[in-house]
Amino acid sequence: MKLVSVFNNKGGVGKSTLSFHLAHALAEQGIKTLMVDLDPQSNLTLQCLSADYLEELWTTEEPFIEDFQAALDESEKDFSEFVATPRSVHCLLKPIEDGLFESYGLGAVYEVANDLGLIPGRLSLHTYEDKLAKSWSDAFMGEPQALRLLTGIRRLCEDAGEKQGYEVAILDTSPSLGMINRVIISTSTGVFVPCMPDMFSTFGLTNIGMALRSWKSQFDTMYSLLSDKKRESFPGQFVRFLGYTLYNARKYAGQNEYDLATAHYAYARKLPAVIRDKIPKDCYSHLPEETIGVPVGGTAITHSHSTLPAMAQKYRVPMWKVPDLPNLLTEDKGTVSGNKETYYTKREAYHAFARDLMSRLEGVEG
Amino acid sequence: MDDLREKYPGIMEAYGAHIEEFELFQKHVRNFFESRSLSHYVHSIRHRIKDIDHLLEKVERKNGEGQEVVEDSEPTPVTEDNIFDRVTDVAGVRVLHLHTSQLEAIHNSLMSKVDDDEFTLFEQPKAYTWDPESGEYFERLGLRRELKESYYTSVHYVLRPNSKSHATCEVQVRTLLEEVWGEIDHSLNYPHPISDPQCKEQIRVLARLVGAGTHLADSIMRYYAGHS
Repeated sequence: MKLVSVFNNKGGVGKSTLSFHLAHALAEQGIKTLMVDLDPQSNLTLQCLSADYLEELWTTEEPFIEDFQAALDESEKDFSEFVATPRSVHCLLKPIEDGLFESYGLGAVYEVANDLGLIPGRLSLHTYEDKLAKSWSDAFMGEPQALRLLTGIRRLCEDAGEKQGYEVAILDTSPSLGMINRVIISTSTGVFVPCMPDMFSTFGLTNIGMALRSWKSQFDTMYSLLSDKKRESFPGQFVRFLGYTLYNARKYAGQNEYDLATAHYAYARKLPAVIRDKIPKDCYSHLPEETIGVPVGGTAITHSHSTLPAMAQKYRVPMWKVPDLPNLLTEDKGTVSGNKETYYTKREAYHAFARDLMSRLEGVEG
Repeated sequence: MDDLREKYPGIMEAYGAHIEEFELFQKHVRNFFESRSLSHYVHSIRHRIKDIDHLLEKVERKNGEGQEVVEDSEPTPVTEDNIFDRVTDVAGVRVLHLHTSQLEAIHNSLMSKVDDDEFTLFEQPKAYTWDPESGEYFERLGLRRELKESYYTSVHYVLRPNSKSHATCEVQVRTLLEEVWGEIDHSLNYPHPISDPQCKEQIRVLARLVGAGTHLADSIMRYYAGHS
């Protein structure tokens, strides 16, 4: 099972839309993919299922988030019955947060498409983060409950891999470098950073570089203190940095190698140097030196069109499936049919992007 | 002291890079001995981390230069590559108990943590004693008996968190009375042994007194504990 974290230090830049299309592209190429929405904003979830469905789910879970054991007793169900219906990621983590069970199975995963599953997000995930922060120092003492909290998200993904045949998990994260992302990213197989060609990306990459350096040293210390048995529930090595990708930029054909506006291009050109200066070398030592300076997928997904992602969101399908939707509303038919070919070309673009991302994970143990 | 810092820059660096692991592992070991399940057997705990200057002095003594005492001198010198295998008491925890029979519970509890893979033994535990009666008791518990030149008494364990870690923690278990002797002996004989023969003799007598006191304490506990 390979866990890929998608991280950006700046929110609201379409990272969840990117995760969504990446996951679809992987699944369409026969790689059974699990999306895990770890951003409390739950944008990835809303891209996959309706607001009504999510509201219903969250409402049902509410008592379990307040007091899991009491709610389970009240429901007169056992745990495996309770998770036979897809649950949000926070609800699935809640028994660990409350210290109820030592181990338990994942249960049902929401099926978005063929070979594509989703563990929905939940706005309340911050209480899990609070517990993680409180337990952090205990993990260095090998305290079992603290270690279960640290490996909880990873354990859910591995369970999906072992029991349901998932091969890759795409972990959509919140734009913070706080405790929960310290744990999610550090214990992933790989992380990549979607970058818009602006000043936030250079600062963002610098921040993630500094964070990776400090997290690696913390996890190295922790690993050196865990017994061999306890060490096994963590990945063999620290997360690999898979690179960045340029996306959400307007196309200015013929201006430069990336077809970007001059101001954007100036920012885009800085990124390889920022990576070489700020990201710890041993996080990408598995890749050839020149690869890390090139965006993941080259320019495959660099250029955006304002209406395409909006349509994908509205109909909750990848962009390339929008033109052929039987339920396409009359009001949208005009704009979509005029750009049909543009919609279709996105399919191969995202497939190429997904292939390049996977190639950067080759040989890295899960 | 500054001379030693200049002489062993590699060891200084290794110490700086790994000292946090020693501190954290020591805390883990302390937590274990302070746990509720041992509260009937453990009286109190002392602990210390060897500072860099004392570590370098020990390295210097082990390397047999500048000091007349060469303890367990070995053919290869201590360097940054083997420092944490050759000096295993950077972190130290001393577990004090009231009477000898409590050692059994402490020992068994620690050994079950070792069996559970929670701690790894870096070397076989040793029981230092000069007293034949105590020696038999330690041997019954499966402890290897060793004799130090002085009247030193203590059971020694060297623990590691796992097979690959640099960090070690030396655990010494002894009775409170033995601690009294140990502290007096240490303050006079460490790091430079006292040469006054009369003082040496008095420390030896104190050791016998402590030995007799320990046996008396054991006997009192054996016959009267539980009668009150």
